[in-house]
Amino acid sequence: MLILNCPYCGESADETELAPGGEAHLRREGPESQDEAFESYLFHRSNPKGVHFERWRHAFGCGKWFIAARCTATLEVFGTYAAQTSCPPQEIVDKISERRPDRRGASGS
Amino acid sequence: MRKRQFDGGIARIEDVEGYGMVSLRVSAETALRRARPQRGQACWEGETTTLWMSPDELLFLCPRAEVAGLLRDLAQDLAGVHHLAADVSSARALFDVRGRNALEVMAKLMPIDLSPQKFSPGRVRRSRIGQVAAAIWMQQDGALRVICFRSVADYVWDLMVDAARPGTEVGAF
Repeated sequence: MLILNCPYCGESADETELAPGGEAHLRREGPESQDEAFESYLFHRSNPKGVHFERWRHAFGCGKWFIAARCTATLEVFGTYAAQTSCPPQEIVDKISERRPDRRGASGS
Repeated sequence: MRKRQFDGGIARIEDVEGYGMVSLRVSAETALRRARPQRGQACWEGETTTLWMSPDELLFLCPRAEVAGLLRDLAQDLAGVHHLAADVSSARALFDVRGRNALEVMAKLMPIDLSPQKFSPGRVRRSRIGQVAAAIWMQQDGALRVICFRSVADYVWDLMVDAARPGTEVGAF
């Protein structure tokens, strides 16, 4: 059972209250981009066993989108934060490096 | 529709009719000329209950005759401010659940912490009942109020009555 704390309403939301939105921190490739980059933006998703950044919507609650950093293998949740960010906030990055010291790269990729 | 009442089980459940509801969408920073509830809370002003629905959404419950006046007041208070105030009186159904086991009955149906230490008068929680969206809050007298969309009111009613069947106390709280 996954329980995420919604950063907007502050409630502990059970997984069944949430709607999944897939990988977070994707960069949109616009009309000027290369075909490969656009294809990647549309279709290519990372599917890590380990730390992952995901979008979730508190569908049965306040209705807001937020981002969760969690481990897909252990279901450990490192934190949740507002969706209006292009990269994870420092406190989340610190928490992850504290819990997973041998993990390389602090961003979502 | 006839007003329903269920009184034979471990909690008393009834329809609450006659309420008007006004939904207000306005940024969290906007000051209102009326009480604005804290996050996850309800507040009362006269006969009006105000529910915190999300950072930028409030729901007012008032006697149906006062809806027009409330909308007028809001339009006046928020003139020039980007907002949306709408009469949604017919959108939702309202229930009253009371009795010693009221919290327990609702805890059977909702994936939220309804222990009396956590859920006290003034607390509002939007979540789901069974498979549909619903919100629950506690009145000042300790009774629970439940709202859900009117289209699923019968489904919610049946679930609540089933969860309140005689002899189904869990004793969790």
